[in-house]
Amino acid sequence: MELRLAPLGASVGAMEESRNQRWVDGAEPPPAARDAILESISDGVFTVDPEWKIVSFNRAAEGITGVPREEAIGRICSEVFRSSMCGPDCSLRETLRTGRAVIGRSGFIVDAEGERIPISISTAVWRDAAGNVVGGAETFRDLSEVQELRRELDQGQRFGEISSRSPSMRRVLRMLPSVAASSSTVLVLGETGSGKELVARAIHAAGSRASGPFVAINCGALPDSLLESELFGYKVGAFTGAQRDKPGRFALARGGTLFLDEIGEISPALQVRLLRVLQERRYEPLGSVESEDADVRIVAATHRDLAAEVKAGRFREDLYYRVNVVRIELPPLRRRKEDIPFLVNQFVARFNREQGKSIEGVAADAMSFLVARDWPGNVRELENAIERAFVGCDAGWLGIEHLPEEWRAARRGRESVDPLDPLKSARDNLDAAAILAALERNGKNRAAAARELGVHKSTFFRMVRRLGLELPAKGAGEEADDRP
Amino acid sequence: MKIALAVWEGRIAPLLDVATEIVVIEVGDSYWSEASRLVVEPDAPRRLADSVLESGARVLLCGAASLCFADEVRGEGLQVVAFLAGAVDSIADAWAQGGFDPDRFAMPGCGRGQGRRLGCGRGRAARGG
Repeated sequence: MELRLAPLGASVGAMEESRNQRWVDGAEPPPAARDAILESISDGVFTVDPEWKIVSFNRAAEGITGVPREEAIGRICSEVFRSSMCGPDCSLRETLRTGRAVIGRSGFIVDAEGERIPISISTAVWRDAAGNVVGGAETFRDLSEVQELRRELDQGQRFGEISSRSPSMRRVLRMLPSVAASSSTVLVLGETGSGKELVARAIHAAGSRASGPFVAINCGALPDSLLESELFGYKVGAFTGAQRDKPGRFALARGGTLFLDEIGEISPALQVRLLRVLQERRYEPLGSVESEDADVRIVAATHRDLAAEVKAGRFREDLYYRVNVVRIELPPLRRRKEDIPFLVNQFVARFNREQGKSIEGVAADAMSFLVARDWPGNVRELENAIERAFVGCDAGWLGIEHLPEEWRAARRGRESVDPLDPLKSARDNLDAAAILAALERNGKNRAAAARELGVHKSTFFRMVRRLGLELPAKGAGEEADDRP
Repeated sequence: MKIALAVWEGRIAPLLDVATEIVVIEVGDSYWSEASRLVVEPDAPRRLADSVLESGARVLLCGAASLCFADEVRGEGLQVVAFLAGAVDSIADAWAQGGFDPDRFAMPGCGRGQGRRLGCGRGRAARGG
């Protein structure tokens, strides 16, 4: 961009003195009109001579910088403008060197009150009517209001590392700050992969125990005896092989937060012990005769319906009430599909960063495919799908061809409708989807998938053949003869 | 005594928050000489303060500085004389002569009568020499 305008002289009003210089279209606008335009716009505008001294400074520039025009004129622009882009990164200098305009570059200035004001700037070369460079022009826009509005829009959409566009998730996000500020025990409910630990970490990070440790333990991953010693620790000699004291997770989390993941999986005996700790806030390590303070905040989580577990007699009612003080229910991804494109873009950006790739994003048809899926494994499954797609793609766009073959097969099945028997096609599509979903849920184990579907293994393989499905690689531990 | 100046191309750097070069000068009775030059990371107030303090200077002369940035630098124990403009030589000369008057080198919009109530006046009451 080039400006061919009358130089603004020692002030905006001095423009009329430059009779030999013209606007780019050859017409010479009336000086009063030029003054009025520059004075009325809300963007700050200043021009500089080749010595970087300010020759004009409009009213908006005064307002945004807090520097009166009479003090700005004749001073070096960087000492008036004082922006984060002044110095080696000066955009105006770049424009005068390259002849190319800079448009909409962001940074901040420090105004006369010492406040950082976010701005965007644009620059242009300033030439006289003969085409000679006589300086540069810079316009700048105060983005404070824009940023304030953006912050207001973001409120309720973000908490710690968690962000969402979905109304159901935003209800959760809105309550998290007050949950974090309290010291109550929290129960997080949600399907596998829905982000329960992320919520627990966010609550910890925003609470008064943030400077303490965050310690997580998956109660479903350990046998009962091991879980007990992991939680409470043990003293030397407590059992064969206990050759020295070992602190448990309660001790390691002292002053911080203990995250008990999959609390619905613990045995009745351990439920009793945990209940006592929650009631008395004290516990004894194995082999110890002295009790210790349980100075931790408890955040528990489960994918199970704990109330139903209580009714079925598998979870103690008194423990349920102890952990169900503040309850947070995370919606599954299929109930917040509006978040899928947003999450996909987040994952793409992260994997690009981590793997040094430059994937542009996900192509529209692949994105539609992702949005249409039900995601039984929730956000974690979506994250894994994007990571897997990255394996076969270094640059450009992730397409359907980068998604798992079993999903594409199911899609092909759904799309192939027999015009002579649409009902049969619809039934076949449902069968295909059910088979593939059952395989996925059962770790690709054909026998387990057949059992879940309530059909014999041979019937299962007959259906697979009839539907023309390509089965995924077999699951671990599957026998060699279970093939069609 | 030693003083430090945030500089850019022979003048006081316009904005301390993103300054990357510090000149440390040894000031005597009506003379000064350059003692060292430091390269600092932009937007890292504590590290900047640590580097300057390590050089032996206890005062930093600089251009504009946001309140939050300047407060962090001061919090490390470094005195900040901000919102100054001018050639490094002139400012060093003025400091060496004693009775350094910040108003004489005030940035536009931070002159006499303005600086006291505005942010740009904060911390400019230092006297050199």
